[in-house]
Amino acid sequence: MILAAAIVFPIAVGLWLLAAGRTLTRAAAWGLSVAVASGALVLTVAAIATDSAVDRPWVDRLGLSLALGIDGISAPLLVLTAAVGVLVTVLARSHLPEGGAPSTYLGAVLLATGGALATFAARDAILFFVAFELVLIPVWLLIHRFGDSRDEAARRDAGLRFVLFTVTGSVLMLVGILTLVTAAGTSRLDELVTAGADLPLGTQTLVAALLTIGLAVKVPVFPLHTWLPAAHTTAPTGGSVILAAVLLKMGTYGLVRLPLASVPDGFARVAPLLAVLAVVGILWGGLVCLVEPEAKRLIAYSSVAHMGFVVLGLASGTVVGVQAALIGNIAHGVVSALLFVVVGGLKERWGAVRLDAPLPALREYAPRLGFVLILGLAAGLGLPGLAGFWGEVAAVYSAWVSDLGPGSLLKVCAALAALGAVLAAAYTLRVARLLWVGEAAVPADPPGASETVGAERAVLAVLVVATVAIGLVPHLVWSVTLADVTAVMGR
Amino acid sequence: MTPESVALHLPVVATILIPFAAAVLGLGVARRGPAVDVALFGGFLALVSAAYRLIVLPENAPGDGGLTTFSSGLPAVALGELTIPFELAVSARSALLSALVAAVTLAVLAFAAWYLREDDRRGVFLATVSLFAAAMQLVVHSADLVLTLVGWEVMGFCSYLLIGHWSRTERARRAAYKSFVVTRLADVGFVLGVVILASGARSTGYAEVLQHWTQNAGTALTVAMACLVVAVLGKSAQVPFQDWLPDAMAGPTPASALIHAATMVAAGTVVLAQLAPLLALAAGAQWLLAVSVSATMLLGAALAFGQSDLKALLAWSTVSQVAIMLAPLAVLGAVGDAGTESSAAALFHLYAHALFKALLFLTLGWLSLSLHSTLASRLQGTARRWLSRLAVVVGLAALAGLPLVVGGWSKELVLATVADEAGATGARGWLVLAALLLTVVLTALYATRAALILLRPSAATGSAATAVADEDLSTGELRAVQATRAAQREAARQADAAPLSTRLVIGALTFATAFGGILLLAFERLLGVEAHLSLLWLSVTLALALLGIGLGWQLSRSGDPALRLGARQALADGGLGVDRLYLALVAAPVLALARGVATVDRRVVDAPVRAVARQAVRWSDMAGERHPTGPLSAVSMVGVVLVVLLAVAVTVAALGGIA
Repeated sequence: MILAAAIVFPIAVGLWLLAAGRTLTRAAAWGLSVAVASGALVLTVAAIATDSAVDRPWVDRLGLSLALGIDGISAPLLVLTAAVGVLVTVLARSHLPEGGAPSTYLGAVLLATGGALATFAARDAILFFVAFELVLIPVWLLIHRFGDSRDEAARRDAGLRFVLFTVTGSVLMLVGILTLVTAAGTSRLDELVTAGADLPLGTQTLVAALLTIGLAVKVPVFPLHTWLPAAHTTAPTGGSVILAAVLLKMGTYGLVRLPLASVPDGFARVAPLLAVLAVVGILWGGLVCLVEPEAKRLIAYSSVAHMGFVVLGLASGTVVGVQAALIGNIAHGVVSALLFVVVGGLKERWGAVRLDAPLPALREYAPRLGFVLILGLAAGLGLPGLAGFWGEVAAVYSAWVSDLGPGSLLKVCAALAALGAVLAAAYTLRVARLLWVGEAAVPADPPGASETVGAERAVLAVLVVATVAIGLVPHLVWSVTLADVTAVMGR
Repeated sequence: MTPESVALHLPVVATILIPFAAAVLGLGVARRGPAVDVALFGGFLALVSAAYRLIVLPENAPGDGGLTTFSSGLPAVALGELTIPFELAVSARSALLSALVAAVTLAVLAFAAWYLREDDRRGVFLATVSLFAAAMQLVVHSADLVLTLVGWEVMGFCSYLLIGHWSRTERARRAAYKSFVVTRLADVGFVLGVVILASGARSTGYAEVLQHWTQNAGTALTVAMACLVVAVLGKSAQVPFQDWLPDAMAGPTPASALIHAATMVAAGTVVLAQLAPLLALAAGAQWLLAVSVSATMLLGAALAFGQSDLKALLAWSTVSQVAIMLAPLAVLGAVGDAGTESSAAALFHLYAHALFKALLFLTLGWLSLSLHSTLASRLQGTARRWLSRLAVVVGLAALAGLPLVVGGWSKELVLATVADEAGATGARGWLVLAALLLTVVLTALYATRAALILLRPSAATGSAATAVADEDLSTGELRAVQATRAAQREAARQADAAPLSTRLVIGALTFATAFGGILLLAFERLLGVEAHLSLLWLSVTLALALLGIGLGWQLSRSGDPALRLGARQALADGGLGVDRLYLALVAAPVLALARGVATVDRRVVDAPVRAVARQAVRWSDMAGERHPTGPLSAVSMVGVVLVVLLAVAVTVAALGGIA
């Protein structure tokens, strides 16, 4: 029941804020949503500690059930999601985007958080799908309504792209899920692990292909990634954080739960192609970042590269690979959230963060913010001791040892992925060279001035600690996930 | 765990964690007073704990091959097929190396505290030095490929920060960027090498890796070791990666001392020495190393001679000396001791180089502090006090490889070892040996040049000589000379005003350089090899060094010989234009590719999406005109989702009907 409460609580309050919250003052809406998000975090942690679960019949005739539960694979993502919910609502104190009532923004954030929690906790394929769709609406609202108010056309374009891609992906995923459920005769994820694996290879391959393409849109996997830069550029800081730290994670989580766990033989057949696309994404994203002039778009493209490592791990079909993907997932969530808070904050202050014009050196006039930036960049380039390292190096290993695919295809993928890490260093330090130790003279009175303010500072501190902690002690994630990953992979 | 092993293991972990803690703490107080105290105290404690371990080291501690591993404190991780044990190891060699790293770090910290006393970012600099030391200690003690990789990369990033410390100048920003990207490119080899080695052993622990691969030598091992060698060539600034190191002179001199002496560029030697039993089985990888170091030691020595800047001279000298360090590892015989002696020779030269290079850099920093320049022409005759003269003489004698000082012992050992192995390793051995012999001459030559610049009074500084010379000068020239003279007087005054700590640092390093070799030979157990004094090679080294010194003396009779190189000196200063080669062969094509990819991304990958989106906007506009009241797209989004959900419901119902 605790788990159900952790999910229903933010969803209910979020809906209420959306529907009837306009009368609330800004402060009241903020206080309420921070309280609710914190409550959801506490409940989530409690649910994990007590191994809370819900299992009720839903549509009896079909054997559909309202099944919620937690295992090692979902636990880290649940914590990440609930924590991001708190961080984004807290951040709203000083960074409330224009475009609508504060209650609408905060309601959308709570709704997205609750929906994502439901997605990660769902133990039923249909329920997973419904929860997945539930998240898309508030996220779309964040992009479309609360996006950059300075560029109306870009906002509309980004919102539309988001709708187009997600709806296409969702339809494919739905068809895949329904085919799977019909063929296997159950929609429960724990039963699908065995029921799906017994399906004939042809069916498995069809289901795996449909699910993989549908979910690849969300991850996103090259060449389905072009919605992401637009969405990130436009979205307000909080929206970008939710996109990067929650929404993309739902895509990779779905890949683990559905095709990988339920139709393993079919997934093994699409995996080599997926691995190739993942590596193309790593290199493609890295190359674009070398010349991309807009900082938020750059971070979005770097996300494509980082998620490429995650997908490469999944496509390797090994325990190491899935472990790499899970820690990579969490690390990317934390690190990109950190970078989006920093760069989003700068964009709010400066109007735009263009890397093709001289920028004042953050190191000089906002040393603390500069420190956070360089730490985030270092984590982004995969520096050991920070969060990004483990997922990348383990993904390369997993591709090298994978026995999937023809000949040494995955070994080549591993080598190319390792080269992608050089591109990461080149573009990351390009940003550092322009933004951290930049050229331009410090403006006498920088607009919106320099250092971080209250809420922003607290949020960044939490993200810095998480980045360092996961980097120093990867056990935090790996020891939680290991048993269930082995169980899923070792059937 | 027995009390003895606790006594042995705890200081090991402490030598890593103390500098790390000092870095974190130091960063926290970077802009306040205690920053210096934190850094120095941390450096001191690390040295104490490293020295303590050297003392309690049991007689039977393994020299190298046999590993006594223990947990680092982090529990092992099992990732399905792969285990990461997170283990450290104790050996006599690592104990000595660790003490050396701690000593050089403390020297650098103490010196930098004075050198950067007017720098507003001194605290950050000191904290970065501490982190750098922690990373090097991790590499020294690691018995796990992943931990080695961690230390290796963290060191790389710290060097990025240190080189770019004076980030207010474009020169420092570019040098920092270049050093990191070049070494990171080579590090692809490290990652792949570790991955291949671990994929065979199913573990990243040295013990498992060594055990598996000594029994399964073959192409895979050669590829893995070649990958690691590439990474070492990058970090150690060997051909073709050499060009990042001279640029790195844009960093403060204490940073150069640290990077060049006991850490970053020497780390490759440590790693290859740890893996020597595997390298011995990979002749292809040794060939790669042999060709690169042979070319590098000659190139570095030749370019050092031509530099117009003494700091750049020391930088190229490091490039050349590290190649000498790596030389014995390129001629490991496939049989017998599996490289124990060769790696001992390599490490001995590492110790020697760490001492004399730290001494030379810090002395140069001391002499040039207020000149804001390290040009040879500005530094002429600046070593005037007894301590600086002694430091210059001892340091450069060690560099030249004269007997009795530390560099002489180690160079002799390297030469003797390579000559021993040359018979067994054939062409590879002879190539390296020939390069070594020639390099000894060249090294003595440029060391002599440097010594004469620093020790011999110039026309501008000598008192009696100048009175005469002044009469021949025009007013403008006279003014210039007087300005130089004033600057040099100021430099001398500032150098004289250096606190006791600075003098102690220079004095201690001078002492260690002078007598370190003898001390080390007395404790040969720590090297894990018997003293290998061969009269033959001692005489050969001495003869070649004397030849070089004689040549240098002869060439310097009428002033700095490098000045007579004319236009060629600019070529030497520019490192033969390799920077432009990097730009033309790597940077430009990659950037062109990146631009192409970005264009394709926009015009091709995104084209269908954009077309659809545009159409949708048109529809929504038309709809919007008909319904000017509401935010229609919100309605349409909700509508789309409702349709999808409806489709779910219908399909579910339909399927239910079928069921």
